[in-house]
Amino acid sequence: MDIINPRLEQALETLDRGVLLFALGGMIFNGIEASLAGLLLTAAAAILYGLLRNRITNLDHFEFGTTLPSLPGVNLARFMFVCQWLGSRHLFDGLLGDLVDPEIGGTRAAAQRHLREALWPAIWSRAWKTVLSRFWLDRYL
Amino acid sequence: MKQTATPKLSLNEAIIAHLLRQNSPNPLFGLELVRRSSTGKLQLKKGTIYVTLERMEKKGLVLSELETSPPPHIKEGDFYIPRRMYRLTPLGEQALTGLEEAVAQIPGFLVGP
Repeated sequence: MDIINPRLEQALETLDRGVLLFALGGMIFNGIEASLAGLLLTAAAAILYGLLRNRITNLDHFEFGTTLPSLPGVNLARFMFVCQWLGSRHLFDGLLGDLVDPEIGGTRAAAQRHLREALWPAIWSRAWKTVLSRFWLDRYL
Repeated sequence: MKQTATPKLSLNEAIIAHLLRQNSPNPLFGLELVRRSSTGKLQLKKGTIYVTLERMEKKGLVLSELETSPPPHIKEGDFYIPRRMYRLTPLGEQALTGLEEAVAQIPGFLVGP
């Protein structure tokens, strides 16, 4: 499901850029002042904003008509939370769909390993791409 | 009339587009793309493929849809969630052809006429 108002996405991008720039400024000035508490508070505020912003804007993308099948060894609620935060329904569908494969979803340990191995690079890749795009550096993606 | 520019492909996007074109008109799912790429020197990674595919869909290079029926190995009562299948769009095809043409010009550019 797409965001209902197309202008909302643009407005959110502007908000992201503002928060990112202020957070960066906060980190620099707190660094100059050698204020560890200031640095930590600025970082915490920026991270909290990022987590909640993505979770809120992606709530609708994770509405399901039916109950999801349970899978031993995989905490679906937690997995969905991470995917919502990453804002990627493709990642959610993709990684869960991979578990249909007997090699990957055949055992509990293999399923857990697959999700773990895929989620960390996805988180880093998503974070890196978000930072680049918010600094108008999309061409390097 | 303003002409829409063909999007440029990153290396991973080019590999994905190439594999999807090879399998056309049948769609492929992410894991299958990773497996097929592992035979070459340029490999796709499980962790980044879905993020890349999502970006490609936003750019209009690929189209995705959920699988309509389970694969044959799935039995009654087995875990099953429809997989997201991807296929190349005409714009994706155009972007890949553009890239191939540009790459083909490199030797001539380096060696000279």
